[in-house]
Amino acid sequence: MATEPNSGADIGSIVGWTFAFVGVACTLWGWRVRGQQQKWLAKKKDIHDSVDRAIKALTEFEDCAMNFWTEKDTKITKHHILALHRRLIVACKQLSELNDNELPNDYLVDLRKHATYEYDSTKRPISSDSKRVSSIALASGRLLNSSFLTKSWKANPKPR
Amino acid sequence: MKKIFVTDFSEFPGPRYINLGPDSGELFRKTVLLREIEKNNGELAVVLDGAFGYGSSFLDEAFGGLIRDGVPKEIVLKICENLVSEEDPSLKLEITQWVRDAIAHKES
Repeated sequence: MATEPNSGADIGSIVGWTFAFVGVACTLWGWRVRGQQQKWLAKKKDIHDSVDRAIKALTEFEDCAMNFWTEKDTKITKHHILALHRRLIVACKQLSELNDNELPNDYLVDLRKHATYEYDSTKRPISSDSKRVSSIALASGRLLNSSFLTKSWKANPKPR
Repeated sequence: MKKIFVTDFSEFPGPRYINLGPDSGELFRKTVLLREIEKNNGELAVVLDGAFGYGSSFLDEAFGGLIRDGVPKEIVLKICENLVSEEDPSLKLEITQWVRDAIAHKES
């Protein structure tokens, strides 16, 4: 027995269902893309906030170290310097976790060395144009200008 | 490998020399590091975590001082490799720099 050809109603039904499936698939894909974009933006905002915190910690450390070495009647003690260096380390570690960049250990070492080397035995205050003061400012500036502390909209900037 | 916790010595590591104040790098080297190196043939893992913070002079005197005291550089460099510093990874780099400086100074 010969089969009857599809009627116009059947073809219309198939086309309708096809459009429905394609529509649902496009909507789901759109939601997925939008979700990924929102997640990426949220992560970037976290990274940028973390950069701000690290810069604040760095400038506090620099100001405190300068004050310790150059001011005659400073209230800053060596414990303040160590505490602020630790805050800087914590802020940098947090940022490193978020942006997958390595910690800028060489800059962090330079900062500690220039700020704390022989701080128990060196007579203070020292001149504001002394080598130590310049070295603290230079080390701080290098970290501040490094790509580690640079805000970027690129996917994942390379360190330094 | 024997683990040495700096916090067992002091939570507030002090200055470079004994005559400058308590818990100095010199005291740590003489009363802890040198004794433990001798007891354990240099097989030490020094844990730096938990202390308030370290001044650079303490680090130089405690670890660079080992070279100046005549401990073989291979042993001191191995101690540097085995340093544990999760809280501040930059400490490991700085201590290694002080040790290498001391080696270079001694060999020059």
